[in-house]
Amino acid sequence: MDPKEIIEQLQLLTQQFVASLQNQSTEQAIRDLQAAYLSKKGKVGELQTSLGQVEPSQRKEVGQAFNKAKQTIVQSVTEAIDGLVKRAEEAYLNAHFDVTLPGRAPAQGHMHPLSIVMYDIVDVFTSMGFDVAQGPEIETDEYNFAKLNFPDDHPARDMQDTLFIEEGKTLLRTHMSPVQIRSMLERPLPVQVVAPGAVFRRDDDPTHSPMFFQIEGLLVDKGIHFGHLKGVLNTFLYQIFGEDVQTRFRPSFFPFTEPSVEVDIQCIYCKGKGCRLCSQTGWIEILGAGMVDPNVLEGVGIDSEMYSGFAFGLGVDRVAMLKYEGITSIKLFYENDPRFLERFRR
Amino acid sequence: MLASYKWLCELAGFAPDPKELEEKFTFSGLEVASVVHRKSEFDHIVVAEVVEKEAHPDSKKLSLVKVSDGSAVLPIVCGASNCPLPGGRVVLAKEGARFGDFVIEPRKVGGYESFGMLCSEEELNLGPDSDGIIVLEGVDASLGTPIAEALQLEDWIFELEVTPNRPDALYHRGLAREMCLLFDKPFAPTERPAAPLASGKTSDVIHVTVENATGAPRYAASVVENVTVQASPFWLRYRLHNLDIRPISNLVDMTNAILMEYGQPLHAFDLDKLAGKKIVVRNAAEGEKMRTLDDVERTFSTDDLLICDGAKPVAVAGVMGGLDTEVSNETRNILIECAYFNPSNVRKTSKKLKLSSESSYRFERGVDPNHEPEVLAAANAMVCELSGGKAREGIVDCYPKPIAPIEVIFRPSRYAAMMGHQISSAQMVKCIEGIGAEVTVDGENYIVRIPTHRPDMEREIDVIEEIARVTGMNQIEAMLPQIQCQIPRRGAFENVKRAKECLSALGLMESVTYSFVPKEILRSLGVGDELITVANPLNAQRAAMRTTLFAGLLENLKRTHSRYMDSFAQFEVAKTYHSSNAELPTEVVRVAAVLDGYVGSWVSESSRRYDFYDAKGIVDSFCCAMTGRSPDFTVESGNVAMHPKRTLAVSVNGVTVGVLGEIHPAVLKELKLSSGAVGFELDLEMLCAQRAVATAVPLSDFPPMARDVAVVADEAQDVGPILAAFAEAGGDLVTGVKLFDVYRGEHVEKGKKSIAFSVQYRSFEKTLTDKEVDMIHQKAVSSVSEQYNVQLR
Repeated sequence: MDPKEIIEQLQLLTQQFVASLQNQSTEQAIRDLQAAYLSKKGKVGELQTSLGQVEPSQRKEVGQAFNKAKQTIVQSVTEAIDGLVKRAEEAYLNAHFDVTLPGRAPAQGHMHPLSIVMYDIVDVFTSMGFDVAQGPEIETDEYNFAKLNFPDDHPARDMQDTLFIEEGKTLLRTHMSPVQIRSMLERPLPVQVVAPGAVFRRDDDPTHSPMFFQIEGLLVDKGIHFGHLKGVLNTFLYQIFGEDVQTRFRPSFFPFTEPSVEVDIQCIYCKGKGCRLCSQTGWIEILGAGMVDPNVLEGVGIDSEMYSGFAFGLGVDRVAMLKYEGITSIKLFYENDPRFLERFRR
Repeated sequence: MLASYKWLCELAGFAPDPKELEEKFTFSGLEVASVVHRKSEFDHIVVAEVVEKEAHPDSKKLSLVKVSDGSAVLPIVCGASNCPLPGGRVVLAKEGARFGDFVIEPRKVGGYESFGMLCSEEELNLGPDSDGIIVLEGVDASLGTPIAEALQLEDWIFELEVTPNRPDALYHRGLAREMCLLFDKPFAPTERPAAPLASGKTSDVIHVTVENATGAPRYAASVVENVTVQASPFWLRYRLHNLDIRPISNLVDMTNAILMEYGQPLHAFDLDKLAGKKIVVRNAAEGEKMRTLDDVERTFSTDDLLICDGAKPVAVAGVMGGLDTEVSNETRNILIECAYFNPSNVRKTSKKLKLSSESSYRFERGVDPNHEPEVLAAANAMVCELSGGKAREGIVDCYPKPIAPIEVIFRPSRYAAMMGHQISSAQMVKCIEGIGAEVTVDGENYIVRIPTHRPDMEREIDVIEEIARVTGMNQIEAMLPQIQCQIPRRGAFENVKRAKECLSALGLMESVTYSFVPKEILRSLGVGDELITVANPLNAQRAAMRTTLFAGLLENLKRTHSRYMDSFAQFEVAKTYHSSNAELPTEVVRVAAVLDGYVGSWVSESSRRYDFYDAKGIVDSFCCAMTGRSPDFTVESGNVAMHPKRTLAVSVNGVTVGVLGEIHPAVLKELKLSSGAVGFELDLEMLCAQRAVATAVPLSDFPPMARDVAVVADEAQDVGPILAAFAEAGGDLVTGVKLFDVYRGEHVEKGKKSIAFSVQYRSFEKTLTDKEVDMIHQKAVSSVSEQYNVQLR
C-alpha cells in the first residue's frame, strides 16, 4: 500500500477526530470517541493493520506518522477533558444560587425565660460558695409562718395573702423562707444556701400572679454582719445588672429579719433620671433582706449569741421583667404562647 | 397612711424642706410612696365679691352676676342656687385657672359672656361639698387675694407605706417625734388649753364595769355636755379631706382628728341614748346581735368583746360602734370612749366579721395603753372648742393592771457586731432617746426603758434596728464575708436543670403553668381522685392541685390553637401533688411534654404532623441522656388518659418511670381539641435514680459487611419482634439491624406490608468473606421467616 496514501488518510482521520472532539460534552463521550479511533477496531487501529503491507524501508516513516497521530489524539483528549472539568468548575462557581431561602435548622428548643433568669441568679450565688436548697411547695403553717416569727393573729400575716389547703395547718408556701428553716434544721453550720422555687399568693391582677417564682438566700455563720449582707447583695446585683449599677438600702420590716432592708437599684432604663418604669423616682425596688431575727435562729436551735446570719429574697418574675424589655404583664409568663416564649431562645 | 406636712410642722415646731423630709422618712424606714403638693392647682383662683346679681332671662338655674376681684369687675354666669347677693364673698376662678384638662377662658354660657367660674368645695378639691359654691365668711383677706393664701391651702400630703411594726407612724404626733429625731431637734409639741368644765364629775353620770380585763386592759371615758352639733370650721374639714377622711360633723370630725393626731381610736356615744348610764365591757353571748354604724346587723359569738350599756350592746370593742347610740344632729351630751383593747382580740373579731376599720387597724397594731388621760383631755378641749360644750371634771378609767414600759438590756458592742459598723455610744443614746426611750448606763450594759407607744420593741435586736435605721443603712460599709467550701447537696436541683437542657436540645420549648388546675381536666385524665384542693381559691374553677402535668400542657395546647397556631411542642418540669397519710402531701417532680400539629419542615420537603414516634424517639433520647441507659417499652392499655393501642409504659433499668403515647381522643375532645396530640410524662427522680456509669466497648478493626432483607408480613405483625429475632438468629457477628422501610401499596398484597431492613455483620477476629456472611444470613432469614410466617420479597 502506498505509504503516502496511508499518511494522508491518517492525517485526515486525525483532523476528523479533532473536529468531532469539539462536539463532545461529557468525559465518557470523549473516551468513547477516543476508543472509536484508537482501539484495535477503531478507525486508526484498523488503518494500522495496513502497516504490514508497507515496504519495510518506508515503515519507519509511516510508523512515526502513526505515533504522531496517536499522540495528537491522546493529547487533544487530555486537553478536551481538562477543558471540560475546568468549564464545569467555572460553571459551578458562577451559577446563580439563592442564598435568601431560609436555613434548614435542626429543631431547636429552649428554656422558659423564668428558668433562664433563675439559673443566671443561682449561678451567681453558687459561684460565691452558696449551695442550693429545696423544699415542699405545700407547707405547714408552722414552717411558713410560725417558725419565721409571724405570731398568730399578727397583722404581719396580712402582708402575704395566703392560699390554704387546710386553714391554719397546711398551705401553699407564700415565700421561700420555709426552705431557709428546713436548711437550718437539716444542714450543718455554716448554712449557706439559695432556695429558688414557685411560691403562691392569693393575688391576681395585671401586676400579680397567684403563682410566681422567688429566690431566697441565707448565710448563717459566726461573725456575719450587715456589712456582709451589703457586700454579697451588691456583688450579686453587679453580676446581674452590670458593674455600673447603683444600689441603695432602705430600712424596712419583715417578721423574720431584724434589722430589715429593701434594696433598690438605680433604674436601668433612665439611669436615675426618672421614667414611667421607676414611677419617676429613678430607683427600682429589687430585693428584700435583713439580718436573721434571733427568734428565728433560736427556733431552729441555733445559738443567736454565737451565730448570726443574713437572708434575702427576690422575685424571679420581677428580675425577668426588668432584664427583658417589653414584657407588659406578668401573666405572659404563664400563658406559654409560643410566640412569646420563642423570643427567649438563646 | 396619709400625713399633712403642715400639721407635722405645727407639732414638730419647725418646717424642713419637704423634699428633705421625704428623703429622711424613706431612708429611716417610712417609705414615702408619693407626695402631693397642694398649691399650683389654685393658681388664678382668688377672693372676689358679688357686686350685681340678676336672674337669667331664660333660665331658672342660671344667674347673671358681676364680681369684683379688686381690680376689675367681671361678668359671670353662675349656675349655683346659693349664689350670694351683692356684698357676698365668693371664690373666683379666673382666666387661666385649671381644673384637670379644663382651662377657664372667656366663653358664652346661656347666651351671655362669662369671664370665669364661681367655685364649689368639690371643684377645688377642698372638701366633698358639691351642693353650691363657696360663700366665704369671716375670711379676712382683700379682694383679689389668691385663695391659697386667703384660706392657707398650701400643704404637702405625704403618702407613707407604714410597715406593721410601726404603729407609732400611723399618727401625726408619732411622725412629728420621728421628724424631730431625724432632724436632731427636741420633740416638744404644744398642748391645747384645758376644756372648760361643767359642774359635776364624769363618774357621777356614767359607771363603767370591765368584765374582761384581758380583752380590755384599759377602758377610759369622759363626758362633754351641752354640745351643739354643726359643721366643723373650714381648716379642720380641709385637713381631714386631705387625709382622705370625710368631714361629717364637729363631733365625728373631732374623733377622727384625735385619731390622726394621737393614733388613738375614740368613740363618741350619745350619752342620753345609753340605757342606765352604764357601760359594761363584756364578751358577747353566743348569737347576740347588734346593728353597726354601717347599717349591717352583725351576729357575735362568745369570743367577741362588746361594749354594752345597761340594756344592750352599743359597740364592737375596737372595731365599730352601734347604730342606735350614734351621735346625731340632736345630740346634746356625749360620752367619749378612749380604751386600750387587746390587739389579738380585735384582730380575731375584725377578721371573723370581715369588718376592718381605721379603729381595728390601729388596735391590731397596738395603741399606747398609757396615754388615755392625755388623749381624753385633748378630745375634751377640742369638742368644747368646736361645739361650745363643757366637760365634766375627771375621767372614768378602768385600768386594773397598768402596762409598764419594758426594759431591755442593750450592749453597744452588740450593735457593732451585728451591723459591722462603728458609731459612738453617745450617738446610739441619742437615737434611742429620740424615739422616746430612757437609757440608764450600767457598766457595759445600757438599760433601755421602751416607751409603750413602741409595742414592737421588745428585745436588744429591736434597739439595734432602731439605731441602724436612724443612722442610715447606706452609711454602713459593704464587704464580702469569707465563705467556707462545702460539699454541694443539690443533686435534685441539677437533675431538673439537666432535664430542661436536654429537652430544649431535643427541640422542645419549656413552659411553666400554674400548679392549680380545673378538677374536670384531672378527672378526664383519669387522675381526679383524692385530689388536694385549695380551700380559698381565687377562682373556684381552678382549685385542684395537679396530679399530672398533662393538665397544664393541654391547656397551653388549647390556647395555642385558639390563637391560630398549629405547631406545638412544649415540655414542663414541675411538681405534681398527691394525697398521703403524712403531715404533708407527696410532691413528685415530673417531666412531661405534649406535641401536636406540624413539625417544622424545610422549603420543598413535605411537611408532616407530630406523631407517636416523635414522642417515642424523644423519650428514648431523653432517657439515654439522663441515665446512660436505653429505656424499655411495654404496651400499656389501661391508662384512661392515653390511646389504648398507642401507648407504652417506659421503664429504665427495670423500673417503670412513666408513659408515652397518643393522648386519648376522648380527653382531647372534651377540651375541644382534635385527636392526634402525643406526649409523655415521666417521674424525673425515679428516672435519675437509674443513672448508670458509661462503659466503653472494644472496637473491631475489620470491615463490616451489609445485607439487606425485605420481607412481606401481615399488617397486624409488629416489626419490633422481627428485628429482634433477626439479631438473635444472626448470632454474635450481627452488630446492627436497621429498619429502613415499611411499605404498603403497589406490588404488595392488600392487608400486608413489606418490611425492609439492613443487617450489619462484623467480626473482631478477621475480615469476613461473602460466603461466610451469606451462610449466616440465609440461616437467619429462613429461621425468622418460619418463626413469624413472613415471606422474603
